[in-house]
Amino acid sequence: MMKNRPILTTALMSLAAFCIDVGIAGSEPRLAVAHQESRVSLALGSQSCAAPVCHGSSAAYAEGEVRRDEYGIWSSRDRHARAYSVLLDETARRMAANLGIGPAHKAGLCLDCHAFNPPAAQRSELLRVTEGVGCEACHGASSLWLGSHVSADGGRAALGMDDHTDVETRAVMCLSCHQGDATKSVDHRLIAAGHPMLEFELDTFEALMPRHWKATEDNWAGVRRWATGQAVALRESMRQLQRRASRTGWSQWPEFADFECSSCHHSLIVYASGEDFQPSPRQRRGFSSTPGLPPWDPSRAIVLRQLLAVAQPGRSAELDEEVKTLRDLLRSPRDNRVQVADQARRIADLADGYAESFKTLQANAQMVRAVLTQLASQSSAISDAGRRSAQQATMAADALYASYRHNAGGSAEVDAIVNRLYLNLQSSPAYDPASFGQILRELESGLR
Amino acid sequence: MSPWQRIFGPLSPDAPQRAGRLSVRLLRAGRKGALMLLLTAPALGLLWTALRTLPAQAAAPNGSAPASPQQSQTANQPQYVGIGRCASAPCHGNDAFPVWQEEDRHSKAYELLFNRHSRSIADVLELESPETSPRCLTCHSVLAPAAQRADSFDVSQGVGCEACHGPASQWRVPHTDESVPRESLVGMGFVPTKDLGRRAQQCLSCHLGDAERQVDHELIAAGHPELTFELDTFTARMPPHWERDASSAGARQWALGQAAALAQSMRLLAGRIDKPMWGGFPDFASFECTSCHHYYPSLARQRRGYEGRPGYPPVRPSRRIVLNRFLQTVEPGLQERLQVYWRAVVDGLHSNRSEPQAAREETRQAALDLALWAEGLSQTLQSRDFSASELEAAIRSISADAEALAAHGFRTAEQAKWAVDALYISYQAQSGPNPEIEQQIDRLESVLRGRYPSEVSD
Repeated sequence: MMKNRPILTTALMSLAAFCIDVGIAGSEPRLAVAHQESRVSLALGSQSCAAPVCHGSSAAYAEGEVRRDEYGIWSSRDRHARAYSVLLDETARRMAANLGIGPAHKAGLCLDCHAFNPPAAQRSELLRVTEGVGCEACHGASSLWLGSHVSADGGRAALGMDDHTDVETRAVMCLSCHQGDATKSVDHRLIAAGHPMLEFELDTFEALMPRHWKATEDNWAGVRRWATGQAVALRESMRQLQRRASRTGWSQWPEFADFECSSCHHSLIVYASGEDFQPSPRQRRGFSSTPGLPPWDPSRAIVLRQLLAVAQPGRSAELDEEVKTLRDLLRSPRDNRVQVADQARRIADLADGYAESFKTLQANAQMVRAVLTQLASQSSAISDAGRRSAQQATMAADALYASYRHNAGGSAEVDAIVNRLYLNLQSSPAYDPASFGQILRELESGLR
Repeated sequence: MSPWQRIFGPLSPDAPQRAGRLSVRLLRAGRKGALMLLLTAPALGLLWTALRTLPAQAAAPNGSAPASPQQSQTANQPQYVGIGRCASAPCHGNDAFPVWQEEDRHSKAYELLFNRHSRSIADVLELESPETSPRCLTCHSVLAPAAQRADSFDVSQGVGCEACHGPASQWRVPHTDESVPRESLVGMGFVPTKDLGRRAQQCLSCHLGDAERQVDHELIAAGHPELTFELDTFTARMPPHWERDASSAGARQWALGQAAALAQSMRLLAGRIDKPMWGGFPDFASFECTSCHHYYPSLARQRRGYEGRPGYPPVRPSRRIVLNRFLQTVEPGLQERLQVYWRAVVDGLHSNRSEPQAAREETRQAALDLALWAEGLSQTLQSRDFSASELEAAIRSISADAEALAAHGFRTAEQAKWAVDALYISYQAQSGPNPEIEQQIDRLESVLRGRYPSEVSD
């Protein structure tokens, strides 16, 4: 449609944008003035995008760059639209009580990720936090580009709109909530109060999200998305670690969320003593350093490392070395606070390089098989590293094999293995590294 | 001076009496007392150590002229002579010794070090062998310093007579004369275990830990069972090699033991704050196990709420909560004091100040303040008689609180059960059986069983 009748389309969209502007001006003259004078883009709320000719169509348009039914997909199927309403439920009430922050749906700590909650200077009176994670939460406050983005001459980025076709930009945006950034963080305090622990893998989560965009990517884009997502997640997690290690408060560092959950969160099984004694599962697993101290959670590096080992063999040893140094430093997190921050920055810099190179990663069937086989061969190291590493390995296997199946055909056997990995993690609150590792190892024979 | 010495020592000869009386006074002195206590804490801190380490560090013997420094040191120090000297037929060979050897598990403490469990622990800790490791021997036998070992001493005898009664070389002969007051033997290394306060400290030195003996988090992670103790219950469970004294059992021994254990645990905490284990945390063994060791996510944990900062482990409640409940019923004024001291410890541990060193020092001091106060409490309770109506009220109050107590973990639940049992023994001694109270105790027990079916056995 855009191609056939560009002028008409553009005119319709401009009209819609104009109507919105008039609406604003009619009801809220002060806002219109502020809007024109402001150099800051104001948040106008998702309703501003929902005109039928813009993104509020009841059905997708086959032609054109965008579907036009984005608003409906988001509001009816996308869980981002319900992010605010969960703040009103029992779990949220209990969490807020544990944290002593007043009602969750009014607390900035919660609203920052469960809604679009920009600073006061960026809010218009049309914005309602009750809409949850709406259009502008990801695409940016729109007042400065709402009218002009319909034509997109010169590119959206030039208008001040984030370019989400760039996988790295998109990863940073998703991770800002799904892993945390400089102002947002699901730390151990929040988790203890009742917040679920964050899990994220870009390709898997995009596949799970009801799609409101048109895919224009080549066949192996999924692998690139997974690889770039891994590198960006490592970079951002290292920056988060750097920030946390730079805090000086007694109970602010170390931050338990940086450490492996099940090293503490396991049951205290006591078997018979004396000659009938059996070591507990934790003792059987052995201790990498002093028994009884929580080890660092390496989940952001340990799976990415397997890709490097295949795609850029020279670089995996370098990452291993730096990660080992960090792990050793974190055995005495308070004594080594400054060194930890410095080492985290070094690894973030490395990861930045990986992200750059993975954006143009040339994947093929052979490479994807090699990465999956590599994951299987490292099953013990990955499963012993903890549940979060196991989760990353599972989502990696899923994402990689989805691409493989799409391009080179798949087998029901491997699909079944991937399913069992997910089921293993869900089946019990007790993470069992032995059984998870065994299934992961089966990937190798499954691929043969 | 090591951090541990600052907390547990050094010794001065007149410390016990002075500190003891003073802390009893402070017990009643309220806020002003607390301030005084704060100011004088380091000096007062001697009391505890004095009592614990007196045998090993006893001052000069009466009237013996020192020859050379070397000799005098050896000569002055009481020596461990081993069980053989006590076990001869005319002495304890027909009474205490066979009871200990055949029925008392203390006599098997050393043998345990050879079993599969001990080997496994030693493997994890990379110890050469448990039976030669001081870390194990210090509680599974008598770890006498070389200078204090007589030729007849044998480490393989386990937790023998002298482990509890003190090195016997100097008092062995005089103590056979029953007309010699036991107190006069103390300077020679004798430990008067009939004194409930001394008994508590002697038991707690291993069953809870002291400056030299600790089942810390590393040892537990390696497989050592976590320690649990209640003076009255454990005394009752121990095959008696002495004539039981009904007046000391029950409520008094329980209450005194509770206060002593709280004090001891606070001294351990203070030392662990001084010498953090990891990330500035005191050794994790000072915290409640199940606060971390539960499967994640735990709805039950979140529903219970947090005393301080969510996600920061709470100090073990099992050594305070039941005592707290008891005091609330029988000595409300003291319970309020306990709360104030406790709050200072918790607030200190959970504080988020940007001067870690100052926060740590304050918290260490708060733990020591509570330790001193609880030591005074323990002394007060030693001469406190509880009336039947007080005991009844306390049992009712603890039983009524069964669910909340159980929610604090198995170790607290266990303490609640032991408490009502001990209190009821004293109640019965005064007023005879009372089916209504027994019902209360049964209810408590069924709540605990319901919550911890696998841990509670008959």
